[in-house]
Amino acid sequence: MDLTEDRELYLKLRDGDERAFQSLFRKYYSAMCHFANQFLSDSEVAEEIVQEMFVKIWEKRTALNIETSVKHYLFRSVRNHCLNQIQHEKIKKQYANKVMKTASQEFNPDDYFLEVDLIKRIEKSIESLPPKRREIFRLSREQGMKYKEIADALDISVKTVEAQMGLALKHLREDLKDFANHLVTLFCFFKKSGKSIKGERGTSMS
Amino acid sequence: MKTNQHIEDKDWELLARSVYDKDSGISANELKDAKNAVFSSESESEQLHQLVQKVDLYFELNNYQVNEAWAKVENQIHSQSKQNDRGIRKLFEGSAFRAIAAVFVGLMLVVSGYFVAHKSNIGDSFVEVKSTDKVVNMISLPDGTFVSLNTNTRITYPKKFVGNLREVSIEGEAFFEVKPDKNKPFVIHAGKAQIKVLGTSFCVNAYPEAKQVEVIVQTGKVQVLNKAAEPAQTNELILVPGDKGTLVYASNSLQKTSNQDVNFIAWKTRNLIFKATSLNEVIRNLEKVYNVKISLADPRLNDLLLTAQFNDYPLDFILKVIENTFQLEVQGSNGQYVLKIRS
Repeated sequence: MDLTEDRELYLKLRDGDERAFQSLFRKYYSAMCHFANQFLSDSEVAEEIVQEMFVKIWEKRTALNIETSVKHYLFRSVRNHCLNQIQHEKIKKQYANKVMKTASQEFNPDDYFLEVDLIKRIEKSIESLPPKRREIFRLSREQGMKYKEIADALDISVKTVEAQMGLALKHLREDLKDFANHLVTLFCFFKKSGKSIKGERGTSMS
Repeated sequence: MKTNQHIEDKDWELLARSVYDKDSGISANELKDAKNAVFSSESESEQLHQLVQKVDLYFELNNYQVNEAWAKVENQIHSQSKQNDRGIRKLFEGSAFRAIAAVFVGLMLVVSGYFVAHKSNIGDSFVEVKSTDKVVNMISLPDGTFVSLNTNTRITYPKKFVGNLREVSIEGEAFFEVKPDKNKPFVIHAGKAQIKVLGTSFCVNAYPEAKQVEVIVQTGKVQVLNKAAEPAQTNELILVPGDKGTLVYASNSLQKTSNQDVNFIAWKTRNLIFKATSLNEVIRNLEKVYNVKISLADPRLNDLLLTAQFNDYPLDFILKVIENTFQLEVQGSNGQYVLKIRS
């Protein structure tokens, strides 16, 4: 479904439909910046490169010829732009070599990209945490703070942070279980009855 | 039951520590026990791992300001476009005179005059840019001043500012970010008003049918002159940030008030702020910003109050929010909407 949506947007973009162009931009911009940042370790430069790339795509839209997945095309382009940038700047040779090596490896856009549906689900799930728990979780995940730092910042005990983080993780898991199932089925096809097995375990324990 | 719950929560605590508090010193055995207690299979554990990554990715991606980035890209593709597109159509030599003539007789033709100026020789040395049903952002004038045009707006300026004034004229509504130049004041002719500045940003609203000219200042200092003033009348106003100057044609008077409209520049930024704003007023703003027609099926709806902030959201989204907030139903499409009480 996603493939056809991208395809449609791409065809419209080629015809000069700015709205389709904007949709693609909004859908992939953050993920592409995040991806570019892996090579550049500078999120500002990463953003500049991705923006520049989109402007170029718009300018040469009539000449675009994407045969494969649009998503892959975009991510490949970002990678190439980053590599050009790195060579251009002649960043320290060793570092550049390291990056080049990483960049020559296969990559999976889905390590960087989230579907809109999933973004909404995660957002909603985090929003539905009790305020204090949400704050603690945000400090950990958004600000990258350690448990100890969170405890100090909020003037609570590390024990409390531990308990709240555990409950937050449990909540997310329960809330997003079907999504998580879906994610894994892509990788391990044999697994499909997580729910019922979990159910049995619950019964035997009580 | 309660005890089970408690035990399980302890297990989750351990799991969370193992992923979220890296140097927490949990032994492999402890972790294994917790996993065994919570999960019934290895793949469930893998699922959790995936989930944790996706949630972290979610926060990572939140760091990027997509709206701002899009605004930049949008400006670039509009100012750089070298081919026709729906928003801006350019004139090339040959057809230039005819197309300009069409603009004058009032046909809905969009023209980007900036490029015209360089590509073709219209008239002597003036450039005209006209917007129709779409906002044209960030036209750059020869002196480095930026102008954004609201819909159905026309600006005329010289290809090169010669002499000791920078003079332009507008019809419609425009937002100016004037490049400071003390030696060369910037002067805007808008209907019967003349607006003089020394480097500032402000908004001029001078649609001919409005029978008045409005100037709202964001930064800097602006002088507004009434060119048609009688000798005994005030013919000049000095405006500072937050001021609004109005030249009313009917009474031929210049008035200074403080600007109450937080959304005066929303047609350009699409940032709308409503603080207990009546639905009537909300709709008036939406109509202006999104260039659509919205009506209320029942006059009682006029007085509903909305508090919300929308930073460059699509109209559909905003209408959905209004729908859900007030239990209304939106009908219509393509620029014509009616809000009704949900039946």
